[in-house]
This record gives sequence, C-alpha cells and structure tokens, in this order.
Amino acid sequence: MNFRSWLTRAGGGLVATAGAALVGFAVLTGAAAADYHQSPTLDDAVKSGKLPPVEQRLPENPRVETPVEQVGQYGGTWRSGMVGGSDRNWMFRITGYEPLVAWDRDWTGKVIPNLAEEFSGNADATEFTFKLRKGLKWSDGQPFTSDDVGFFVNDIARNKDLFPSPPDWLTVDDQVGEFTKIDDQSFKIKFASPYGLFLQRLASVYGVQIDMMAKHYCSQFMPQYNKTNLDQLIQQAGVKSWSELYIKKCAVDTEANERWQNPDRPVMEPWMIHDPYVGGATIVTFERNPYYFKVDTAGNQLPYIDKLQISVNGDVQTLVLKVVNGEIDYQDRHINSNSNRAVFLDSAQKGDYRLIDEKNSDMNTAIISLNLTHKDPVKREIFNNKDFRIGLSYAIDRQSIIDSAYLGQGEPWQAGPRKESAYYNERLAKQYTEYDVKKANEYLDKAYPKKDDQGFRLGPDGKRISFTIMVIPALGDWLDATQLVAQYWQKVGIDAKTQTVDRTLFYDRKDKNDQDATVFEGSGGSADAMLEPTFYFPFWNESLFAVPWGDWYASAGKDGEAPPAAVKKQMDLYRELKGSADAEKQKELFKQILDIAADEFYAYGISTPGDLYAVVKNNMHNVPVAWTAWTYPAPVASNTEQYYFSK
Amino acid sequence: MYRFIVRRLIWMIPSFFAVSLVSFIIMRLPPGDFVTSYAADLATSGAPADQATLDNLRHHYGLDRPLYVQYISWVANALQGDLGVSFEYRAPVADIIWSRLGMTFLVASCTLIFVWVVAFPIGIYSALRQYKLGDYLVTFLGFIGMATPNFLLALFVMYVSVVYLGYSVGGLFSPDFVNAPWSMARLADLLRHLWIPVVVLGVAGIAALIRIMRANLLDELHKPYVETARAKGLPELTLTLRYPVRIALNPFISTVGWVLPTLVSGDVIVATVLSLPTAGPILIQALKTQDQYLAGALLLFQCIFVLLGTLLSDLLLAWLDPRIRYDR
Repeated sequence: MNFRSWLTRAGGGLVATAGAALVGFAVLTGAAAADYHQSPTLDDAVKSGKLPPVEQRLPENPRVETPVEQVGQYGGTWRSGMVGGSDRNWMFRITGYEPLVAWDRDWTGKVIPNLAEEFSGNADATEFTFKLRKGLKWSDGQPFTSDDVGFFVNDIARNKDLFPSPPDWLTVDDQVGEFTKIDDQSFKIKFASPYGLFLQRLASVYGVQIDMMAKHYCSQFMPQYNKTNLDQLIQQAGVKSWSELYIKKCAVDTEANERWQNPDRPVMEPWMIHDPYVGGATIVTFERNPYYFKVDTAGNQLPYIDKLQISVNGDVQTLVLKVVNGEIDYQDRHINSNSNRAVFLDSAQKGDYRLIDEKNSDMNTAIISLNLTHKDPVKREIFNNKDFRIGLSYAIDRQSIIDSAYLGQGEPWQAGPRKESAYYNERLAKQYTEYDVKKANEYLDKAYPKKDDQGFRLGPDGKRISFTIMVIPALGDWLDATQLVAQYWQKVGIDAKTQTVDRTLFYDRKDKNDQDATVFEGSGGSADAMLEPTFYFPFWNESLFAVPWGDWYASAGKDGEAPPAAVKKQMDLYRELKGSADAEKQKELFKQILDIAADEFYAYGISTPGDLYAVVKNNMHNVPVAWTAWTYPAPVASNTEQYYFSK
Repeated sequence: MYRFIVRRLIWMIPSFFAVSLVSFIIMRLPPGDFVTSYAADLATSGAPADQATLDNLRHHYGLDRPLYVQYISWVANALQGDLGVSFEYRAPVADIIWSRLGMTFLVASCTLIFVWVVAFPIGIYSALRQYKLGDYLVTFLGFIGMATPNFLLALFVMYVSVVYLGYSVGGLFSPDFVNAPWSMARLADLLRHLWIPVVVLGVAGIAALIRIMRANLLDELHKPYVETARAKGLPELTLTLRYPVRIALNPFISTVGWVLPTLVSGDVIVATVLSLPTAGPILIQALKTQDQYLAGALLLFQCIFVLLGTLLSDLLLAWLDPRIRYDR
C-alpha cells in the first residue's frame, strides 16, 4: 500500500482530493460568510471599531465543529482549580491544545485538520506538506502564516541557547526537520530519514509547540531580529540574557510556567490569559480570543464560554470541598480518585453537579518491574531467569488485590495494551495472570528448588533470594498492592520486601540503576501505546525493568548498555516502524514487537485501571465521555471550546 | 547598653553565614535535585521527559556545577540582594516572597493580638480563682484547645463556614475580589474571611498562654511583696495588675521575638489547608520539590528573623525589667 492510500485510511471519513499531486483533505465547508455570529460580549467592541466584524476575524474557511449534543449558548465563566504553584498543565489540559493537525474527538488514532486545512506526506515519509487555513489570525489580530511556523522550526528549534538539544518530536536521527516556505499558506517540512510517526507526534500534546510563537511578537526578543532596543528590553525585564528574556516572554517549552505568565503573548487558543499564573497568584483568569478560528454548525464563532477562572489552592482537600460546595464547573485533575467518588455523589444534588465517566487510557494500575539489568550479577541472573519470573506471576492473587486495593474495579492484567486498543495482544495482556500457587512453585522449583531452614529459596550463590520493591507512597495507588504482592511472594519462598521512598530518591536510584524492583503506573494503554511503548521494550529511561537498555536505545548506542538479541530485534522493528509511512505496516510491525514482549515477559502488571470521572455542573453541556490521557490531552482535545452553560 | 547591642549585631554576621550554610546543606540533603523531582512529577502526570530535556534544564539552572560553587554564588548574590530564581515558578524569588509577605504579616499580627487579648484576662482570672469552678472550666477548655491539631480544626471550621455559612472555600478573599483593586468592599470581604485563620491559628496559642500566665502568676501571688502590698491596703485589682502581673509578663516579653520567624513558617500546615496566600504553603512546596533557592531564601529569612527577634526580645526585656540589664 502506498502512502497516499495510507493517508486516506488514516484520515478516515475525510475524502482525499483525487488527481492532485499532493493528497489533501477536502474540508467540510462552513456556513456562508454572512451567517457568522459572535458572542454578545464582543458587540460593543465591534460597534466602536475596536474589533473588525466577525467575518473579517474568522479565516475564509473556518474549522466547523459539530457540537457534542447541540448548538450552545454564549456566556458564563468556567470555574476550576489548580493545586500549588506549578500545576500549569491543568491550563494546558483545558485550553492549551491548538495544533496544526489534531486527534479526532473520539481518539481512534485518526489525525484531522485543525490550523492546517490540508496535509500530506510523500511515499517514504520524509517530506510533509501543509496548507494553512487562509486568513487565520493570532489573538491580537495579526495574520498567522507559514512564516510563523518557519520562525519556530528555523529560528527557535535550531537555536542552541533555547534548545541545547532540539525538540524530540521534530527530530529524526538528531536532525531537525527542514522547513521550506511555498507561499503564505503552504509549507513543507523535510526530514533526513523517514519519519512515519510525524503526523501523530504533531497531533500529540507536544506538537502544539510549532504554533505557540507569533513571529511578529516573539522575534523582538531575538538578537538577529531586534537590532535596536533588545538591551533595553532585557534590562526592563530584569534578566541577564536575551534567551532568558525570550523564555520569560514566549515560553519555548510547552510545559513551562512562562506559557501562562505573559498576557501580551498572542495565542491561537480559544481563551487567552488575563490574570497570569505567577508566583503568589491565587486566581488565574482567561478571556475569550476574539480571533478564534472555529465556528459551530450554525456559524457561531467559538468558544461559547466567556471566561475561565482557575483558583490556585494549597491543598487538594480545599478543592474537593469547593466541588462539594458547587464552586467548580468542571474538574477532574487532582480530585477524581476512587475514594472521593462517594463524597461527590452524596452532595451531587446540593452542589448541582453530575459525574461524567472518563475512559482511562492507562493499561495498568501498577507495573512491578524486576531489574533485569541489575548491577549485582547474582540478582541479575535470578531476575533474568524466565521460570523465576513466571513462577512469581502465578503467585500473585490479582483478584484479591483488585477487591481490596482497587474497589473491585478492573480485571487481572499484565503490561499490555487495553482490550479497546487497536494494539490489544491477548497473550501479552493475560498470560500468567491466574492465581495458582502450585504452578508458581513448579516454576520456581525448576529455577531455584533449594530452600533454607525458614523455607526461603536459595539463589545460585547459595544465599537466600531477597530483594526490595521500591514504591513511592505519595504518588498513585500502589502501596497497598505492592505490600500484598510482597506477601504473596513471601508465601512461595521469595524474600521480597516493600520499601517506601520519596519520589526523588526513586528517580535518583533508577537513573543510577541501583534498584532491585520498582512499582510505577502503566501508561500507554490505548492509541498512545505505539507512541510510548515504555513497558513493551526498553524504550527510554522510564522503562523501569531495564533502564540501561532503554538509555542505550534512546541515545542510539552512546550511553547505557547493549541489550540481548531479542531486545535488539524489537528496537530494530521499532526503527523500521518509525521509518514506515504505512499505517497498516506500522501496526503489523508493532504487533511483532508486542509478540516479542510477550515472549520476553519483562514486567508484571496487576490489573486494568477502572474508569475515571469528572465533576461537571448540571448546567454545563456538550461534555462528551472522552478518553483521559496526556498524549491526547484531556479534556481539551475533546473540544472544550464547544462546552457551554445553559441559562 | 549600646555596646551590648553592637556586640549582638556583630555576632549576627557569623551566625548569618553559619545559618546560610546549614540552610543550603539541608536543602541538598535529600537525594537528587529539583530536576529529579520535576522528572518524577512529569512521569507521574503521564508525561515523562527524556534525558536530554532534563540535562538541558539542569544546565540551565546551574545544577550541574559543584555544590560549593552553587553555595558561594548563591550567598554572594544574596548579599547583593539577588535571591536567585525559583525553578518551579520560573520567577525571581524576591517577587514571590514579597507578594506573599504582606498577607502573612497581616495574618500573623492579627493572630498575635487576638491571642493576647483573649489569653491574658483569662489567664489572670484563672490564677486568681485557682481550683474554683471557673478555673477548672478554663483549664478544661484550654487543654482541649492545646490538644486539637490545628489543621484538623482548620478543616472543621472551613467545613462549617462553607456548608452552614455559605462562604467560598479557602483563601482570604471571595473569587471576585482576589484580583480586584483595594476598596471598602474588598476590605469587608477580607475581614469576613480573616477570622477563620486567626481563630484557628490562635486557639492553640491561647490555650498555651493561659496556662503559662496562670502558672507564672501563681508563682508570684504568694510572695511576700504581694502580702505587703495587700497589708498596706491596696485594692486587690490594682495590686494584682501593678505588681505580680508585670513580673508574670517577663516570659511573654522574652518570647515576643519568636513571633517574627512565624511570619515565614508558623502557619505552614493551616495555611496549606485553608489555601491562604501566605508564605507557609510556598515554603512547604519548595521543600517538597527541592526548589532550592526559593526554599533557601525562606529558610534564610526565617533564621534572620530568629536572630532579630531574639535581639528584640532581649532589648524589650531589659527595658521592662531593670533587674536584668547588662550594664547596671
């Protein structure tokens, strides 16, 4: 299958324009220009001439968004909350996602037009062409053109002061993509070698970086553009260098606090910051972007909601109380733990809100990884003994753990993609998950039959097999499960102990490869499995079962430690996958990777996590039951701009 | 007297360096650094960062330099008034601290006044009526006040104020007034919210003060000078207030300076629970994330306040009680 047909498939229901040299997506045409409407709050500004009329603010071909339930009404303030001074990603999650190309609302893995109305790639996935909507404007009314994208790719991403190492999603084989302008709306990005995942990466959360910086505003902070008063600006801002000034004004990093600190920076997002998120702020507010490029099916310019108001809380419990008290319109972050569910249901009537389910994209509640690259040769030998690992898996009573630690939600599951996922692999997900002490002992007897007088098994060096499982009690719901697992392992003669550590110590140890075993959450369970295969092969230093192998892969063999043949095979397959332009072939290659993962059986999973939920005020509508993930930043990727309040 | 003050001030210089060194060491004692905790934070929010990004960050913040270099440049800059940059807020430390210090000062001083106004009369009453019903009642309530963890009390008061009094949750202002310019309405809004932290923070202090006042006064009440004054026919109230109460005040004066350091950290947990815009929650967060210059600056401030506060107390005490002046 060639790239063209792949695009058609990847694009799903969208129609590829036939016969064109470039395969572009025809875009659903919007309502006629005369029919556009705007929020009444903007009427005065238009009448007085401060703002041009809505037709002139919208692009020629605005993105027409179909509301989840119905066409909404303008108005209202969306109240939510953050905890602490560095909770910036909540804002990312409700208004910070406006990429060139986006995930579809249902996150089937499709990539759809957003700022770019057409996009395509060549057959070997080295060159990608984009066409922007004509007449797009930044929130200050200046046009958004190819030059803005070129500014990021050429001037920012390649700048060693701002990016000592370039952004990962725009890089193949350590080389940043080449930008070529065709005209004000069209441009190409070319890579040195095939990059089959580029469009998915562009639609993923970090891809928004490419349209975060308005050239006309941000270039004034760079020495090559501003020859007149840069020194003065640096002094005024109280910083030491132009790069510090640039970061302060235009952020650079998508997850930086600075992104929410400068109300002057133009944005393409539905709301723009008004009261910034600076140190000491107790409330952060946003106002509508009058130049936002989307309309609903009736020609109303989005967003519907006028303002965002986000309180900065010291403690999660304060936020919980705010929800109960009806002071929050939509919130999931921080508060949607299982233990709070009953509290919220109790007060739902009084607080006038409802709970909406969210599909959890994680594949596991807790992944327990023995360190297959242990520094101690004896432990390494033991952990690498597959019979030993299988025996330990049979020894875990996952159903009891689910019942006691996870309120009975979920099913026994290893480290494999979820059932709903396109990459579901039954063997990887379900093998060795039944609780069978007899089988466990059989396998362990094959490996290490000798026991000491207390009934603990002896390793190859004649000493008791003993290790600690490192767990961070402050994060996640892992401690109870881990303690139970350690007890089950004790019962089959393995001296496993739980060790609680602070998260920094956890990270310090695993980066130095000083751990015996670790517990962490199993992310990458749905459409993101292929983009973030952390527990399917040693992909990077978050692959806790073999950090040095992960380092080896991530650094292309420069750091870490060379892995054995089967792992190398997986790495080769993944490289091939990244270089492939064909979605079906990518899927096929990924299946091979997962099959090897099942053979190798790297880490233990406990269970699939249960559904999550969001608390939503009864008068807020158009809120879908959506995935919650990071790669598909929820809830913004389900189009928060079309949420509305009924009167 | 002046020599005494000068001597004390000179001693503060080596103390400052010792304190800054200890603050720095304490901050660097936990394993890893801010970037490690940042990486852990990202990974658990489902967005792990790659090693290159983390190395960039470490370099950007100068965390890859040797520890002694970090310390020396920190202290050198601090002496010139540059407290460094907060990694987490990505803003100058001074901005963050100053923006919060006003409210912190307000809460702390209101609390102090509240505590004294309530505790002194009750303490005196309790001593004068020793082993009477009133004394037992006050003692009983006092012990409950002391034994109740104030964060728990904070949660309780907050719950009541929200559920029964219809307040907005936490903070010192309603959402509409947070960023509004000062006005009578905003002041009224502040006063409406201020009593919660003041009462919560004050309760334990009141209970303790009542006990101290009572014990101090009981020590004095049976001394011969009191008997003498009484024998000479002074009215009981005048007598009590003029002589034994003044002496019983000594311990308060010698600890009044300790109020200064509580400006930074006295209310950490309560302020976190109540989401107060004070310095406490910032300190605890900075320590948790190893935001070293922010935490360092706050610890340093606190230590300086301890030094200044102790000096202040000594001076006040010397002024109040001629018996303990140095250069008689």
